Amino acid sequence: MDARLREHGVLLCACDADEEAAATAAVAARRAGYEVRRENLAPTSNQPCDTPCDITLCVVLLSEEAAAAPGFLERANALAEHMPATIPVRLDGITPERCGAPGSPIRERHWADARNHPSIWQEIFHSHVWLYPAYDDLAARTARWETCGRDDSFLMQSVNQAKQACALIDEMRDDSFQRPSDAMVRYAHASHTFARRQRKRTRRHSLVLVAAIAAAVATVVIVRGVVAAHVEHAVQSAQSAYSMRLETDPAFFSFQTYCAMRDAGGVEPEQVHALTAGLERPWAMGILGTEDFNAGGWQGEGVFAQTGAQYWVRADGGTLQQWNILAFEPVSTIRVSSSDAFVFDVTADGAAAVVADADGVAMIDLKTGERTALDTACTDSVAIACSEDGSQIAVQTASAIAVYENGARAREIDLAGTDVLALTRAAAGLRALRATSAEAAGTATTAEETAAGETVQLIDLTMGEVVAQAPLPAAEILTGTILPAGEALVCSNGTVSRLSAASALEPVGFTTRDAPSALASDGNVLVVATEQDGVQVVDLATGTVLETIARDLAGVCYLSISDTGVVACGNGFVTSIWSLLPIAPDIATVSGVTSAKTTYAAESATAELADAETLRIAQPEFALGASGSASDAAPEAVEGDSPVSATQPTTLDIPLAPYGDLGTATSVCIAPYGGAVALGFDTGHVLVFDLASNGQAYLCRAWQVPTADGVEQVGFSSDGARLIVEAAGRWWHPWSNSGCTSMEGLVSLLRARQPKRWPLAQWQTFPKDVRQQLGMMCATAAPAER
Amino acid sequence: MAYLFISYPRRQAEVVTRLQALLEARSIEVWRDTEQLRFGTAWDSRVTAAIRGAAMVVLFQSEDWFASGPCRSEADQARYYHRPIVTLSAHDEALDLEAAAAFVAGRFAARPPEGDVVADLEVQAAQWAEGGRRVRDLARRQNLRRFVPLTSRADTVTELAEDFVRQSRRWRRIVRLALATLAVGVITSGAFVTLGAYQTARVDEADRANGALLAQRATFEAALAASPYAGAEAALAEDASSDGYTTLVDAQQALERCVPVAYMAGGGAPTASGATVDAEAFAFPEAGRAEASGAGWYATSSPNRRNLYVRRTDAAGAVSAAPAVTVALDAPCDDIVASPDGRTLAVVTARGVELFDPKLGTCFTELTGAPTSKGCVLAWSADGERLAMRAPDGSAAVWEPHPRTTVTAHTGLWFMDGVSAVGGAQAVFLARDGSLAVVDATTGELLGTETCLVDTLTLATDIAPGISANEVYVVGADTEGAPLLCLVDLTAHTAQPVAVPEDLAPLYVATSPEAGIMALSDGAQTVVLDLASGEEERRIEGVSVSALAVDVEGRVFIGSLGGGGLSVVEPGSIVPAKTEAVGIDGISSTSPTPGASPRALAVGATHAVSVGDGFAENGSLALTNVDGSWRLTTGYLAFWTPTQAQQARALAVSPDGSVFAAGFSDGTVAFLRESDLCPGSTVREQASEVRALAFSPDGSAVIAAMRDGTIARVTVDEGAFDIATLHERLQQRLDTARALGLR
Repeated sequence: MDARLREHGVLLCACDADEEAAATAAVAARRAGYEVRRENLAPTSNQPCDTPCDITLCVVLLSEEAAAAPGFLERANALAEHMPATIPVRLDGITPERCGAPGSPIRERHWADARNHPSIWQEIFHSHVWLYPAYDDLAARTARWETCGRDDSFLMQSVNQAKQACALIDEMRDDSFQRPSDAMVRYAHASHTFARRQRKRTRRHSLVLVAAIAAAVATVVIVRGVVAAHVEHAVQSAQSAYSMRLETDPAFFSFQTYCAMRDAGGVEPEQVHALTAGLERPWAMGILGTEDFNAGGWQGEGVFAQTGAQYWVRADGGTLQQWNILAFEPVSTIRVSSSDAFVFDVTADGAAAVVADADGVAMIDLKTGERTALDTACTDSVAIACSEDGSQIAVQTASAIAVYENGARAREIDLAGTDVLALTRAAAGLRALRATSAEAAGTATTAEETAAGETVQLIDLTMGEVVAQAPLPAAEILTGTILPAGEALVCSNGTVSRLSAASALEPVGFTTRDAPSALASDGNVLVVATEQDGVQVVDLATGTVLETIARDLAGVCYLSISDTGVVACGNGFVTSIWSLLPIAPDIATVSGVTSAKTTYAAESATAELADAETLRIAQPEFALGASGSASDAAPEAVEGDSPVSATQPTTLDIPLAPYGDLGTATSVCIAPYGGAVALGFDTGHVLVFDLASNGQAYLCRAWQVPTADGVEQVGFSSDGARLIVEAAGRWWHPWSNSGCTSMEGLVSLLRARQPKRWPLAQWQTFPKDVRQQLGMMCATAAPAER
Repeated sequence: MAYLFISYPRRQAEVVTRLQALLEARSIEVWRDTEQLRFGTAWDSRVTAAIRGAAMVVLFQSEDWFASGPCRSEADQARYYHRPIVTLSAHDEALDLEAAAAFVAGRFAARPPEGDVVADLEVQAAQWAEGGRRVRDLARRQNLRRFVPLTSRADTVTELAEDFVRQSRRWRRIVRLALATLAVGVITSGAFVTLGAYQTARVDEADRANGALLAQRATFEAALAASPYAGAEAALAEDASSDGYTTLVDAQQALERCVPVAYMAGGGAPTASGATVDAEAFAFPEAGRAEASGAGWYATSSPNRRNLYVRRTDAAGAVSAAPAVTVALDAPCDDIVASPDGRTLAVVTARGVELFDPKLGTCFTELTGAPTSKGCVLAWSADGERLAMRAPDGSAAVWEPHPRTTVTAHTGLWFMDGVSAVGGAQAVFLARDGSLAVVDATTGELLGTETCLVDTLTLATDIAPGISANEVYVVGADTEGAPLLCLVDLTAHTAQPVAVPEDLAPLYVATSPEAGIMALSDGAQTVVLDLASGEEERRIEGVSVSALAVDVEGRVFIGSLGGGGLSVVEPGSIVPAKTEAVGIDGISSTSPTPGASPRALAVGATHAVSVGDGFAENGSLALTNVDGSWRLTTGYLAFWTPTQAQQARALAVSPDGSVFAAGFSDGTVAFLRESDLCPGSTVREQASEVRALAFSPDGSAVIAAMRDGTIARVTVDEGAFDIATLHERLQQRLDTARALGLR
C-alpha cells in the first residue's frame, strides 16, 4: 500500500447554519497544525469541485440544516469521493442514511459525533486518516512477523517501503486512535535495516549475476577461441619445429620461419640465419596432384608440350591430365584409355596425343577427346613416341619397334636379343636407344668381341638406320636416355657415358650409386633418379652434381625435362616441378647488370676492393633494403658478420676475412636498386650483402659455383632477384636473396620464390593474413574427366 | 497475532462488547467491525481485510443479524475465505455470555493451525494483488513453504491465494533455474577456463620448449660448424635434464665429429699429454700430391686443384680416358692420398681433411679439430687405421677415421638382404645372384660363400630364417623370371624349391621359427603358412606389401607400398588391427607420404620399426601395443638422424630386443633404443650403401653387408643412450684437446 503524506491542510465543509461549529473546528484544526480552508458548499457557490492538492483531510459538518441545504450533500459527497480522507461529523441528530444514497461516501463512512464529545475536534484533527491503510498494513505485517518468529521473509523487502513505514511510525505517534506499538516500531526499523541490507545484496547479486553471465559467455567464447587458436598455432609451430623440413621442403620451412619472425615483431639474428639456410636451398615450383592424391588418385609419367607451358600426365582411370605449368593450374582431364595401363606421347603443340594400350594404338585429339584408332592389333606396347606434329609414331612392343607414318605402319625394327633403353623424340626426329649383343649388332669381328658384351646403338627411326653405336662392357645395370639434340646417354653399372656420333662412349664424369629409376636430359644437364640418392642434377659438361632436388618426394621414377629447363619428377603418386634456372648453367644469360671489375660504380653507390680483405662501399646516402623503408627495425648482423660502423656517413667497409679463404676477388657489382652488392672470387665463391639503411651490411647469400670454376663476372638480374655469374664461359643464375634482412624485402623475396601452388594441408597452416600478404595460392585438384 | 472477527448487528453492540471483554480476558484478540473502524474509513474494504485475516469468525446471530445485509455479507466473506466459523445464537436475550465466551475460546484454541496460515496467505495474496502483482511481493522461502501445502487441497484457499502461491512457486522455479544455469555456466566456464588455461599453459610450454629447442639446436649447430670443440662445449652447456632427445642428440653429434687422437705442435714439441705424433710411422711426402690411385681407380686434381677427376682402371692398370667421377672441392686441395686398401681417397685443403669414396666421389667423413693451412700433406698408417696430416709449420695431427667400423671382407657380391642364423652365431647375407655369404656374427669374419642357388636364381631379393638354425628361405626369380621360394641348407649346401600357393608369386618372405609360421607375399596379398607343414593358415588381402616381418608371437607386420604405412595382423586374424596414430607431443607425424615405402622391418620387445624410401619424409614408422591397442608413431626421426640418405634398406634388432640398427644408402648405420625409441649414435665411417645388418650374439656389434660386397663390423655404443656418459666423453674430449693444445 502506498500512503502519500500530504501537506497538512484541512478542508472544513459546513453550511451557513453550522458556522459556529465550523469555527470551533477550525480553531482546533489550526491548533493541531493544520492549515484550514473553509468550504461553504452553498448551492449558489460557483466554486469548482476540484481537489485541492494541498488538502489532506476533509471534515464535513453534517446537521439537519446541512442535509436540508440544497446541493450541500451532493457537493459534500463529491468532495468526499475525491479527498484523500473525509470525516463526516454529526452535529445533531442527522443520520448517515439521510446523507446520501447507499454506497455514497458520506453515508458509508464512520461518522464522528460532536454532540456530546467536547474533545471530538482534537480527536478528529489527530486522526491520520490517510495513513490508516498504511498503518493497518504495517500492523498486519508486524503481527505476521511476530507470529512467524520474526522471520526476515516477513519484513519489508523494499527500502522505500521500509522508509515509509518508519515515517509512518513517526507520523502516527500522536494519532487519536492508532498509535504504533513497540512491535511495529521494531518491525519498521528491522525492515529498514533488512531492506537496505537486501538492497545491497541484491545490487551485489545483480552485478555479480550480470557480470557472471557476461563473463561466462565471454569466457567461453574467448577461451575457446584463444585455446583453439593457440593450439592451432602451437601445432603448426611444433609441426614446423619437429618436421623442420629444411632439407626436404625449404620453402615451407622458410615460410614458417617468416611467420615466426612476423609474430616476434621482426627479424632476429638467429632467425635471419635460419631463414637464410632455407633460402639457400632450391625450392620447387610446386607439386601437381596433391589434392588428387588425398582423394585417392595418382599420377604417373608425363611429358611437356608447348615449350614447357603445358604438362600432360597419365592419371588414374585411364586419363590424361593437362596442367598449365606457368600458372600451375589444372586445365583438363581427358579419358584416353579403358585401363590405367597405357603409354602415351604428346605432340609439340599439345593438340594431340598418341596412346598405346590393350586396345591398340590410337591418336587422341586433346581438344575434343576424339579417338582415332591407328592399329588395333598392336596391343602389347611398352613405350611410344611421336614426332612434333604427330605424323610419325614409334611404338615399342616386346618384339619390335613399329614406326607409323601418317597413320600407316611404315617399318618395323626387330628387337630380338636387344633391350630398348629409350624411345623418344629428338630434334632430328624419333630415336631409339638399344643395347644388343655384339654379334647381333654385327659389330663383332672376333670371338672375344662376340663374348665381350653388348653394343649400344642409337637408331634413327625415321630412316631406320643406326646413327651411332659403341661397344659396352658387360654390365648388370644398363639404362639410357636420348638427348634432344639426338645424342644419347648410357648408364652402365652406374657410370654415365655419352654416345656421340663418333661412336664412342665417353664418360661424362658422373657415376650413380645404383640403377637409376629414371633418366632425363636436355643436353645441358642430366637429371637422374635413384632410390638411394634421390633426384640429382648433373652438369653434363663436367660431371659435377649440381644439386639434389625433389627431396620432398620418395621413390621418384618418372622424369621429364622441357625445353625451357623445367623438370617434372613423378613418383607414381604426385609430380614435383622444378626450374633448372637457379641450378644449372647456360651459355646465355638473362638480362641484368654485371661487372668484371673490382670497382663498380652505379648511380647509387660505388663498390671497390679497398684491399684484399675489405670491400668498400661509398654512396651519397645508403640505399634502402629491397622494397624496404627507413622505418624498418634495424636488422641485426648475421652470424659471422662484424657490423662495421662507417667511419664516414657515406662509406662502409665490409671485412671479408670472417668468411674464410675465398681466394682473390674478381668482380663486384651493385644491385640495380642499390640495396645490395655482390662479390665474386676466383675460387668460385660469391658473396651477396644487403646494404641496410642503418649503414651496415649483412650477408644474405654465400654461393659457390658448383663446378668450382672461378667467377669471371658477377652481377644482378634487372630486378635484383637473381645473381648473374659467369664462370668458365657459362652463366649461372642463382637467387641473390638480397632484401632478406628486412621484413619488406623478405616479403618480396618470398613472393617471388614461393611455389606457385601450395598443397592444401600446408596452405592451411598459415594465417589468412600471411597468405594474403604473400599471395599464397592453394593447389586444386584436376577437373573431372570429360 | 491471531484474532477473532465477530459479525454482529449494531443493535447488539453492547452485548458483543461484553462478550469481547470476556474473550479478551481469555487473551483472545477480537476484531469488531465498529470498534476498529476509525473516522472516515470505508467499511467494506476494512471488514473484508479483517475477515480475510481473522483466525476465526464468530457469527453473533440473531434476528437482527439475519436482517442485516452487511452481517450476511460478512458471513459470505468468511466462507469465501474459508475462515473457521463459529456461530453463536443470540436470539435469546438471556444468552449466557460466559458460556459463549468459553465456547468460543475453546473453539478458538482448538482451531487447526492451518487456519492461521490460510489467513496469512489470503492477506498476503490480497496485498500482492493490490500492489500490482509485483514479483517482489511474492512469497518466498519459509513463507512459501508454509503456503504450498494449502494449495494442494481443493477449496482450502481462494483462487487469488492459489494464484499467488502458484506465481510464487513459478518465480521460485525461475530463480532456481537461473541460479542453476548460472552455477552450471560458472562451473563450466571455470572448468573450461581452467582446462583452457591448462591447455594454453601446456601449449605455451610446448611452444616455448620448441622454440627453446630450436634456438638450442641452432646454437649448437653453429658452434659445431665452427669447431668440433666449440660444438662439444655447446653440447655440454645444454641442460641434461631437459625433456626430449634433442640434448642427447646434440651430445651424440658433437662426439661423432672425428677429432685428432694425437697432435704435435709446430717445431716438434711434444704436447703435455705426451700423445706425440710418431713421424716415422707416417710417410709424409715432401710436397702435396696431385694424383692418387687405388683399387680400380686413378684420381687427379685439376690444374687449379679445385676439382678431382677419378678415372677407372682396368685389371691391367690402364686408365680410362675420361673421368667416371668428378668432385668439386670447397677449396684447392693441397694433397690427395689413397688409403692402403685403395678404397678411400683422403684430401686435404685449407678447410680441412675429407675422406671420399672414389667410386662415387662422395665425401663420407670430415676430419676436424686440428688447424689446417695451405701446404698440408697427408699420410696413412700402414694398416690404414690412422691418417696423419702435417702442416708446413711442422705441426701434425693424427686421426682414427673409422674407430667403430672394421672391414672384414670384400666379397664383390651385390648384397640384397641378410638374416641371423645358427642361433645368432652367424649372419647370412643374400647376394643378388643367389650367393649366400656366411659370416661369423661376432667377428664379422667371412666363413664362406654358399653358391648352391646361383644356378637356380637369376635375381634373389629376400631372405628369412628357416625352421632350423642352419636353414634359410630365399625368394627370387628363376632363370625364366618366374618367382621362386627356396629352402637352403647351409650345412648340406643344398637348395630346394618350396611349394607355395598357385596364385602366389612370392616377392617377400618372413618367418618366425619360434611361432612356427611363414608369411609370404606377392606385394598385393600375404599368405601365412605353417612353417613345418607348409599348409596355408590364412590369407591377408587388401593390404599392399613392400616389407614383411613376423614376431615370436606370430603377429605379421606389413609395410605398405606407396604411402609408407605400417600395420599389424594379429595371430589368427586376416585383417590389420586398428591402429591409432600418435605423433610427437600429440602431433601426428605419421601421415602417409607419397612414395615412402618401407623396405625393412624389425620387431623388438615392445616396438616394431620400419625404414625404407623417403627416410627424410616420415620414412620410418614404429608400432607398439599399449594396453591392448596398437599405436603408430615415428620410428627413426630424420630430425635426429644426421644423414642425407634418401633410403634405408637394412634394419635389425639386437638378440635381446633392446636396440635397433638401421643401415642407410650413404653408408650410415644408426642405432635406436627399442624401449622408448631413444635415438642412439650414428656411424658413417664408410660410404657404401648398407644392404643388410645382423647383430652379434651379445649385441655389442652389428655386421653390415654393403651394396658393393663389403662386409664390416660396426660396434654398438650403449653409452650413447645415456646423457651422463656422453657428457663425460665430451668433457674428456675437451680435456684432451686442451692437453693437445688444440683448444
